[in-house]
Amino acid sequence: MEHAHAADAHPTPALYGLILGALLIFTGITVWVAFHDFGVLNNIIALGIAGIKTVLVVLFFMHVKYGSRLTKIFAVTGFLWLSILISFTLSDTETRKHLRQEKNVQWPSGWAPLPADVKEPGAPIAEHGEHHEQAAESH
Amino acid sequence: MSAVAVPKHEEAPALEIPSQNYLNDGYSIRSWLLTLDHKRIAILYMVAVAIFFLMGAAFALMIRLELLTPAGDFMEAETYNKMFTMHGVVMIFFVLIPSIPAILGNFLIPLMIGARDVAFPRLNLMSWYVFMLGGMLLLTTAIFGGVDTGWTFYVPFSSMFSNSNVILATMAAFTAGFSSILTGLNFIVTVHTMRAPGMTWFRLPLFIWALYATSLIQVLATPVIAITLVLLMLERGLGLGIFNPALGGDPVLFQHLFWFYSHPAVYIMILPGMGVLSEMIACVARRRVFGYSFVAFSSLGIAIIGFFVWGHHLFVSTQSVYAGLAFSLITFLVAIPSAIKTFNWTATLYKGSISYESPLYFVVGFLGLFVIGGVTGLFLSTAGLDVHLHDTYFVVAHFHYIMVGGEIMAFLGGLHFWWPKMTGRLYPEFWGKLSASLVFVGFNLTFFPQFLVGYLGMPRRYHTYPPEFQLFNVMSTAGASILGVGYILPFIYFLWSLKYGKVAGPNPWRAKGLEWENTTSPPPTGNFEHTPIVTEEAYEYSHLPEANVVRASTH
Amino acid sequence: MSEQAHISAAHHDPFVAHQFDDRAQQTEAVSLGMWAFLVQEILFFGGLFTGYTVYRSYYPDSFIAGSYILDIKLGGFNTAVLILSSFTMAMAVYSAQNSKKGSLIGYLIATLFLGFVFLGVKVIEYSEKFHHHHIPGFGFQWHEPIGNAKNVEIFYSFYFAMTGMHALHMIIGAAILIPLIILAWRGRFHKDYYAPIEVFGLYWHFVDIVWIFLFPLLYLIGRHAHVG
Repeated sequence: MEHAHAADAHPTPALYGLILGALLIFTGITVWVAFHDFGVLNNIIALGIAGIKTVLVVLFFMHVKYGSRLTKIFAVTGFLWLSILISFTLSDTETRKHLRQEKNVQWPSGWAPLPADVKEPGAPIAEHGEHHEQAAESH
Repeated sequence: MSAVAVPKHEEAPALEIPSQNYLNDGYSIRSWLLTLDHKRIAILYMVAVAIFFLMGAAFALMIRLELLTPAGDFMEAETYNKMFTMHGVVMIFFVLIPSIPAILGNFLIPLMIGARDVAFPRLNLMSWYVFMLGGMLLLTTAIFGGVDTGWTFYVPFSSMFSNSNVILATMAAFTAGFSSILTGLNFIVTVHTMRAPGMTWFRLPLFIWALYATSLIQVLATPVIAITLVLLMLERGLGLGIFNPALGGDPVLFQHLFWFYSHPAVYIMILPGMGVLSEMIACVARRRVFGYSFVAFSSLGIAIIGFFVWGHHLFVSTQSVYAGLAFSLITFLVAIPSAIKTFNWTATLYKGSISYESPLYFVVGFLGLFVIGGVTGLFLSTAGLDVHLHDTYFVVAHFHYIMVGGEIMAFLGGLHFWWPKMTGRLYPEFWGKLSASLVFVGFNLTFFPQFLVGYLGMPRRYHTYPPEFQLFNVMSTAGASILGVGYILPFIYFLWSLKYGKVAGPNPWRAKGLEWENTTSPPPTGNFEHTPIVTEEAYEYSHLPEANVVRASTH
Repeated sequence: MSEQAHISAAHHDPFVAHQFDDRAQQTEAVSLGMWAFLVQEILFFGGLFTGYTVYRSYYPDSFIAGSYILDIKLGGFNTAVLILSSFTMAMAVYSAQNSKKGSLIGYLIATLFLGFVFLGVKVIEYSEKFHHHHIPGFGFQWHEPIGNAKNVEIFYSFYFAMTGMHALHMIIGAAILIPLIILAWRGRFHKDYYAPIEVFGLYWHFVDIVWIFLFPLLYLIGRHAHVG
């Protein structure tokens, strides 16, 4: 079993200080970039810098660089799995968002169909958990 | 090389319950409620899950009684909605998810890998308390009138229109989920760091591979439903609008977040059952599982691929057809590792030296029912067909075949198989076989008609139905009563066996495995007198001295 | 069948729990355990990030509008505070590894102090939002000329859910730091036993990482569109 804490496998305060400086500098860069229009690159740079900062924290402050392979696998897996959640969800929302329309959705009161000439937008029935009367008959 | 000599049957001395075992290591309530022993924690879970099972079964009884007749004459629509919701919430979060991992997993994992306990015994106890807290919240929900949204809590009904105890119910599910995360975390670390010397990954029992894969899912998937339920609580409590179309929200987003967990959750439920199957099959066939590494990797394969298919629950939700296409295709792929397991199990049985004991009955029951459930999943993963089948009883039948016909059968089988190890007593064989048979017959009578009636168009989650479906519904309710008898019997004879059952001895099934060969029944608190050193592969039944095995005799 | 080993039950190392064979196994297990916990934390926050991503894609202008009136100075200051607190936490672990009790206590207290500064700034930000009726569910009103009120409310729902959940995790971290400081003061940690410090450090760094993503995603959306 790998002993993850051999005395010679750890960063020094100097290295920590360097990482601190780098993190602060990257923070400054990301703020600066935000105030300039690079088009679609703005998002890429913002996430990229956040990613670099994360990698620095994970590798050095969290000692993953000096840790076991298993620790590295755990660290990567978490972010990888989140990327599955986000990317597959986006595969749905991005390919149908052009179909979404701003509609004045009116919730019917009671469960009866909405009359054609209703002008007021309907309010949701159960406001903050209040009770309401409902139609007695079932479908 | 032989270890502790196992006496031939005809020379066996009278078997005794060991004078010092984990069950008599302290009799006070405090020694149970503050235990750090994984075996006692498993028993605590067993009692809790048994109670929740009865509760969930009671709700099922209500459902089947209402559905005896087409008219909604037994209860109001809203009451019926509460029945199926509570049935689902109880059975999924408080029975199926914890059952095998928290009971058999907790009991067996340290024993099977040669460890004294799990990696974090206090966390283990805490997970039980968290589970009980969830149970209290669930009971409170029931007392305050239940919840009627379906166990899936779909918005905007759950967030805006339901008059029932949505927030309480989601808190109960959230809490049970947290318990599940802690259990999974504990098992992952235990398997990585606490295997006995010589217990390499590929010498592990397949039960461990299955539980390890399950634990991965528990840790990776459960937090997503946790945050989703939090968002639902905030939405309902504060009227936020993130899932309300009138305020720009997208209800389908809820479904994505919900099913990202809930689909892998079904693999949390079935994988441990598959692990139990591997152990029982090796034992009843007296040989190593065919294709060990295929079965081991297929557990991981199911766990991983299972994360990419959740959109098959959203085919008719307005999910984009492009996403639907991807999810449908990948769902077909996830059937493959399950099929690999099934073929390997069959190959293990083929030309094995099979003994017709009660574990075999559960094995056969599982294989038949799981296969039916599995192939009907392929019907549903075909997006075009799903348009017709979604929200019909076809879906209900499909998942009950897997969850009940598969997992509960495996769970019961595992309880039977390891009962002698856990209690030191044998249950009566005849009653074990009878129970398995009744469950098999009753189950098919309950749920096969539901495939037919679902395909014919009967929708789920309605307390009424068109009169032409009544025959199948009556058959289903009749089957449910037989099924109920099959489930009640073990409660009786297991309890009976605690006092009157024959003493089992260390290895009544003559099985391979550290839990059978290296410790007593019941085991001592520290599991082993000395840490075992593992020198052979799993399931080396050929190393046993007797070719024709004579079992400990039973009633 | 397995041979039974006659391993002496020996080592009554007081710092090794009964289920472990030795210090190394315990340290490895505890570290993996915390990492497994952090993995599930990534997924926990991840649900919020997913929702955020979907709605930012649906309503880019409203997200820009909602982000624009967040105080970037306070947000940036808090980012620096947290990064500094990660540094002090790493130094605390280093101190423990080298049995430097004094600097261990000092760095732990510094970390706690910076955590409180962060939370204090959040209190300021939240109360400002409250005064402007920008908290969804508590009388949300939007009177700016940019963004659609309903959709900006969705932005703020995620803003408060994400920063609120983050702040909750910081509060929990602070609550755990206090007994750690006390134990450190009592001389519990030294180069042969400092796993709790290291493992808590992992948690603290994780909370920092969450904020590293929250800051640009919430505070820096499209600032370029409204310079001046």
